[in-house]
Amino acid sequence: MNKIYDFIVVGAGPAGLMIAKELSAASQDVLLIDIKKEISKVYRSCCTMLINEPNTHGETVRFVDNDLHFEKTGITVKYGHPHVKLVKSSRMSTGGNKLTIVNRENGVALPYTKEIILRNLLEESLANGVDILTETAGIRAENIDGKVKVTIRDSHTRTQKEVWCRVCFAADGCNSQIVTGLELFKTRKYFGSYRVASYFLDEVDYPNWDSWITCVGKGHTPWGKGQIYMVPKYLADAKEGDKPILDVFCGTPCGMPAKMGLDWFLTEGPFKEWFHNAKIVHKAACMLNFYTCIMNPVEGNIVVVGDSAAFIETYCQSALMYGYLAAQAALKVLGTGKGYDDYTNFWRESFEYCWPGEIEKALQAFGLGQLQDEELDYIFSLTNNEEYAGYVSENTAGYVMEKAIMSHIDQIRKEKPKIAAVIEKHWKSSSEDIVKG
Amino acid sequence: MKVDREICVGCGACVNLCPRLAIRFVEDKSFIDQVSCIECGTCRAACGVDAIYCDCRFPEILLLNFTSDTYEKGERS
Repeated sequence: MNKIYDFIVVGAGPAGLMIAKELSAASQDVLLIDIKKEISKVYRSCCTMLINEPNTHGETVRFVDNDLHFEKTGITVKYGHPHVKLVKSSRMSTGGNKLTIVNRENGVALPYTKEIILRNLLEESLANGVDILTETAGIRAENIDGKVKVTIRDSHTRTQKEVWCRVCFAADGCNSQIVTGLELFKTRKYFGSYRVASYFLDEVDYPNWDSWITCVGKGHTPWGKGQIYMVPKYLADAKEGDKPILDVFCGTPCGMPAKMGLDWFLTEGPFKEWFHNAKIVHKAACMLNFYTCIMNPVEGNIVVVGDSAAFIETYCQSALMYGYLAAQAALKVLGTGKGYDDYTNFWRESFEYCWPGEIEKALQAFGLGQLQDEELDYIFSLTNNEEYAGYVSENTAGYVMEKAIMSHIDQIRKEKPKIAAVIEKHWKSSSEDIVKG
Repeated sequence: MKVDREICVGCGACVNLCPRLAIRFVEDKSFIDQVSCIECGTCRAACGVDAIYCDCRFPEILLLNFTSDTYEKGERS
């Protein structure tokens, strides 16, 4: 048998790099593998916003001295790059009416640059002596006699190899190959898949630089399904004082072309005049699976971290946090034989989608697109001049929206009883009805 | 299936989804091994930027089988 590593980390995203950095800082023997050649480059669509709402996934994260500071976990992740402060989060109908959540003091979310976070963590990991295999895929991990056999494949030669370790971390994202091969994957319920295309645009004539925009309604895309989002952010080569660029992305159910929807939105959509002179400076894409969370993210000595165990995804900030906690748990296990329980319990208690009913609520908030465009336009015309306190958050924005719309329900009942009936039925319907559309 | 590497942005979504492990990530873009690919279309349905297309190898092969008359000619026993 060849060398046995203490730890193998499959996937060098925020969670994987955080684990590699923490373990190597504790003088452990770590092998990090990833399919990419340049680990810090990001070609995967990702909002990468700091969700600054207190207690998001059990943690409160803030920018302190331009680094990410995690208040409860007590860690700081190096950043040192410009970030954007968004004070508004708006749902926008095809007619341009809005339902807006506002937080002027702290912002509703703070978009930052993922590439910088990854680059900083990679530098620290390399300085600590982590072995890194790039352009290598983690195919499978198996628990054998108290150790883990990880099958990896070199992307150039296509040869498969086995490497052994004491503990393996599956941090290879929401389509994790390692997790797909585990027993605990079979306990998950599958809801559906979305694919996303995203363009980073410069020189747009855009009025909403202080907002996160979710376009709601059928008229934003040619086939009526899917959603367009817009968020200002900085690329990795930006300097202090630069103007942010605009990340526009289109998510559609699998089988429908996200890129075609995005192209159509920019050239033919209801707000096409914003994009007449736009230049594409970067492109990204991704694919998201909607599964229930893995409730027990440890199988033998294989620890599932971040997106790999989550419903859709954890935020980038939470991937860092769960990565840190998983690394601490694994260190404890190597020392004392016990320690995974803390990580598992914290995962269940902190990640909202592990709680009963949360997935249903999230899918209901996503399902606002079921209403017709004129109906949405009418509803948002009632909320157009109002501001509601809140944040960009999958877990709480739905409540704020529901409250905002329900505060006008008497008027809607009087003026458009049909719409009121749809809304009230919609908020009572089950998640499966909504996914099936 | 084949990847148009000009269009592929390198998000890696298709790599882990392939049921045949036929997709590799070479130079930060997807590459499909034609020997392993069974043209199931999973990758094409997942690609956000429509970089994956079908070259339709199988219909041609199937057609060859149906039009072949090797058995009638008695060339095989």
